[in-house]
Parts: sequence; structure tokens; C-alpha cells
Amino acid sequence: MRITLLLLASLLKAADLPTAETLLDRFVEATGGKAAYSQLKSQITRTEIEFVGAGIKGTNTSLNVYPNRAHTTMELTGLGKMFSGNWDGNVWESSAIQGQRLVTGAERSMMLRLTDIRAAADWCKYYASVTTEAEETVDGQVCYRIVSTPKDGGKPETSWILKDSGLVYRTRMTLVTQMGEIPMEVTVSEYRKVGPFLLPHVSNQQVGPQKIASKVKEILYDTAIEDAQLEPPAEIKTLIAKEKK
Amino acid sequence: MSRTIRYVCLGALLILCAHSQTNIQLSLDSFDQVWRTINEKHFDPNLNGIDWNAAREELRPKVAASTSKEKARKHTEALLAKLGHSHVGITPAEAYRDLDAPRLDGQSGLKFEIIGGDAILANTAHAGAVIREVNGRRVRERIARATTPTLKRLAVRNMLGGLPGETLELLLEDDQGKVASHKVELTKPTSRLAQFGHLPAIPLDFHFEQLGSQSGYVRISSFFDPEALQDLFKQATTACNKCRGIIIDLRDNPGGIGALATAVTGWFIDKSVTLGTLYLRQTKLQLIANPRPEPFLGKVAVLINSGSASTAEFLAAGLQDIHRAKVFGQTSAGMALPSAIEKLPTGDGFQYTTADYITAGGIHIEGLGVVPDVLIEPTRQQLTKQMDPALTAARTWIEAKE
Repeated sequence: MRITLLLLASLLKAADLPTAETLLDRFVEATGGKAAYSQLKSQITRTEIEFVGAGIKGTNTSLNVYPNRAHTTMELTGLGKMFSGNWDGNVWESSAIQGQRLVTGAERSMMLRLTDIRAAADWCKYYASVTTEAEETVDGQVCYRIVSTPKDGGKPETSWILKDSGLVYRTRMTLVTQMGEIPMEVTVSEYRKVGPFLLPHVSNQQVGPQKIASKVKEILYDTAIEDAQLEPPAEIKTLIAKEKK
Repeated sequence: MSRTIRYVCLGALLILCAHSQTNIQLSLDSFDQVWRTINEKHFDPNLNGIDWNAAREELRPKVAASTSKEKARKHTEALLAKLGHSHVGITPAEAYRDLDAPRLDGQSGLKFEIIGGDAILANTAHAGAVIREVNGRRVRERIARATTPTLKRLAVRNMLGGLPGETLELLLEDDQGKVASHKVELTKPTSRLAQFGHLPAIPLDFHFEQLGSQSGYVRISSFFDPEALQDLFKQATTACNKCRGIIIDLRDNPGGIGALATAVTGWFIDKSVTLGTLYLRQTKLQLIANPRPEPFLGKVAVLINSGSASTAEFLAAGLQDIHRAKVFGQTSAGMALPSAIEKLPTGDGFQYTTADYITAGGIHIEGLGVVPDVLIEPTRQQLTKQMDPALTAARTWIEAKE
């Protein structure tokens, strides 16, 4: 009898919660609206990064053109420049440390999702299911906890969405890399309006044992980005050509 | 008047006390940061069975009772020593100096080997001589006190160091038993300095040369500056593309950025390989090397000695395990754990391990070292003739027609 009552209570509580679909749609509206996202053609983001406590700082510049071109340059003190990108669906990486390679499998799927500038509004494209699990207080803020399961077979991601504003506060996910899977938690803050969009400007990430802090210095929407700025290095083009054969 | 002086003295005393209290508080905060970091981030949540709370209860009061920052640091180092493995330690704040400030990196240019408990010179006109004393300090005693080949080597290297411009007075005994004093002036390092994270600046010596028409020779003093390292191997593999083999000299290379072991491997493979596994508290990661566009696929020889540590060991063990290289020389340091360095409130640097490392062949080289395929212990006679038997053996293997 007691178990039945508890079950009933939990069902009633779950029924009280907004659906994850509603929460994600509300997030899209709060950050710019579906119409604005659907017209977004390109984005340039410049960020300052710090590996907290490790004495390593740097910058990250991402150029993204919808639907499938991206070029990211990360420059860190003592490590130099590291490049990655998406050239018509060919996801690649190039650095003095890792060499040059085409990214495949689950790692590629994740990179495609993370570099899609319309991904927030097109979440149905990437997730097979989304579920609201609970209402809970995180760092003194009331949030809804939702779980999203990627279509590509990736591990479920948990996000905390602020109850009052509808903005995402934290996401916990598994980063897929060539070396293996790394647990990652990203907490964002300082949402600011840039053009038609409201975007977080501060991000604190816990990637494995390392804390990484980043601050957005500049975001530009729909400015012209030349193909030459997005092209991968010659070695990557050779790999792409080899792959096609 | 006297009352005024008394108040001034009392005030000065209070300021001194406050200063001392502040220093000790910084030392306590540093101790707490070290304890907490190991507790939260060490790859082994059980800390190899050490009662970490008891260790704090034993040593924290000693830090609180310390009369100087240096004494407090000793107790924090004692806490870390309980872990009993490499890549944990404290670098005194004094080691972090401005690049222009005097540094203890004066170079004597002297090479040596330890044979039978003595340090034997391996170069200069006095090659083959035993170094009896350095500035009146007996070398043999220092070597005897050190417990491992790596520490013995470090002890001698430290005795041969100092500030640029300083003069070392060496007491040398030649192979006839004749003892004479010689002076060596320490010079500024000619190589550039690499800066990474919270490590003090490190002199970087990358060198490539072709040895005849069959062999290439690459020497790496430490694993920093990925782009310069990439340029070095691009140069070596391009210039030596028709060579029978390339020798990578990792002797006295203390390591550096761990991932650079995979970066170097990439120049010698034609498909991706795993050099080993890193076991972190949260996950495990493979050390994967990706082939470079035009890799060198001839023979590869790696030279190591007891001064080769960390990343140098990842590379030597990795290439040995995948049967891509033959390793020559002496067993390496066995200090092969990935680590991170952060700053403490005292300004000291704090190095701690972030992962355990197992080679692709399933070997745990921490504490054991990489055992060469061809073990070579130089003799005094060879050193007298300024021979390099490990390099000679590697070159002979490369140039042999098989």
C-alpha cells in the first residue's frame, strides 16, 4: 500500500513537471527564437581560455558557416596552435602534437553536433529522446533536470535549465575523443544579447581532472567568411582525397 | 620618550609576529591545498592504502609550529613522500625567477658516466679521469649516498652546476693515478628557454645531424615546444629519407609534455598505434599516435640512460612495445607518471600525479624503468678515448645489412 502511494506520488510529481520538449523550445525562444536561428548563416566567436591553476592560457577562434563548414584555431601558451574543423562533413584535426587526422565515428558525430550553429533550435535533429527528470536546486538556483539521448548512440547528456529564465545553467556529458571518453561538466553564466541572440559569455568546464575557464570576447553573426579561412591544411586535403578513393 | 620607544619596539615586534603568522598561514593553506588535491585528484582513490587523514593529523601541526617557510615546506614534502612514487613534489618559489635574474643553469659542458661508484669524465682533454672533488666536496660520497642510478646521476649533475660565471674547481685523477686540480668556468646556456605552465624555464636543446649516408641522429634534451619539435622531426625525416635508420637520443632527457611521445612516434609509423594507457581517477585514456603525412619507415634506434625519465620513457617504452624501435643504453629512471603543476599560496610550485601509466605491452614502468634491448655500460677505457658505445652500437645495428 505504502509502495503504491509512493509510486503514485512520484507519477503525480513527474506529471507536474514541464516536458523536456517544452523546456528546450522555451530555451530556444529565450535565446533568440526559432525564426532567428533558422536564418543564421555564419558565426565568428573569439574566446579567452585558461587552464585553471595550471598556468596555461590562450585564445580560441571559431569560424562557422551553416550547414557544414567550420574552422577552429586554439592557441595555448607553451603548446602552440591547434586546428580543427569541418569541411563539407569531413571533420579533421591538425596540430604539432596530434599530427593530422580525419575524425570518425562517435567523435565525428559529437563534433558535428557541437559545431552546428543552429543546433539549439534543431535539437530534434540530434537527440532521439529528451526527458524531464526532476526539479532541483543547483548552486542556489531552481532548475529542471533534463536528460537528452543522442541519436548517434552517444551517451545521454544531463542539463539543468533555470526554472525562472528558461536558460541552460549546466550540462554534464561525456566528451568523446580519440584517446577515450572524458567526463565533462560545463556551467555557463553571464548571458548577454548579441544581435538577435542571448548567449552565455562565461563558461567553466570541468574536463576530467582539469578546470577550464573561458570568456567570450567577441561574437559576430552573418559576417562574410571566405572559403580560404575555412579550408583545412594541405595535409588534411590529401587525407580527404585518399579517403574518397 | 622611553615609553614612546617601547611602543615603537612593541609595534615592530607585533608587525614581525603578524608577518610570521601570515607566512605560516600561507604555509598551512599550501599544505591544505596539497592534501586536498591529492585526496581529490590522485589516480588511485585508495592512495595505495595510505591513511591520508592520519597523515594530515601527523604533519599539519608540524607545519603550524614551523619557524620558517622552508621548514614548513619540508613537512609538506614529507606528506607527498608518503605516496612513494615519482612526479610529486614542491618547487620552491625561488626557482621561479625572471628570465633575466641569475639562474642555476650555468653549464660546465662536462659529460660523465658513473662507473663503479665513481663519476668518470666522458669528454674534454681529461676524458677518462675520475672526478674526485668539486669545490672541495667529495663526489664518491655523494654518489654513495644516492639510492638509485638516477639519483646518483642527478647528484653529480647538480655538483657540476651553478650560476653562469662561477668557477668549479675539480680534483681529477687520471688513469695513472695522478691527481690534479682543474678549473672550469660555468657559461650561460646557449640554447633557448622553454616555458610551460608553472614549470621554471627550461633550456631546450634540439639537434639533428646526419651520420654518414646511412644514419640520422636526433637529440632532444626535453619534451617542450611542440611546434619546434615538429620542425625538428620534419627536418630529420626529410633530410634523412634515404637513410637506413634514425637514432633518437633521449639520454638525460627528463621528460616534459607527455603527449609529445605520441607526436614523435607519428613520424615513424604508417598507421595509428597505441603507446599505452593512462588510468585517471575518472576514466582511462589511450596514448594514441597518428602517422604524419610522410613518415620515415626505416630502422629506428632509441638511446636511453638512467637520466631518461617520464615522457622519454613513454616514447622509448612505446616504440619498443610496438616493435618499431630497438632501445640501446642503460635502464631508464622509472619515473613515468603523468602529472600537473599548480601554484601554492606560498608561491611554490606543486607537482602531483594525475594518472597511472601502463605501456601497450602491459608493463608498469614506474619504479622499474625501460630496460633496453641492448644493455650497454660504458667502460673507463672507452670514455678515455671519448667513445660513445651506445651510439656506436645503435649505428652499427642500423647500418648492418639484414
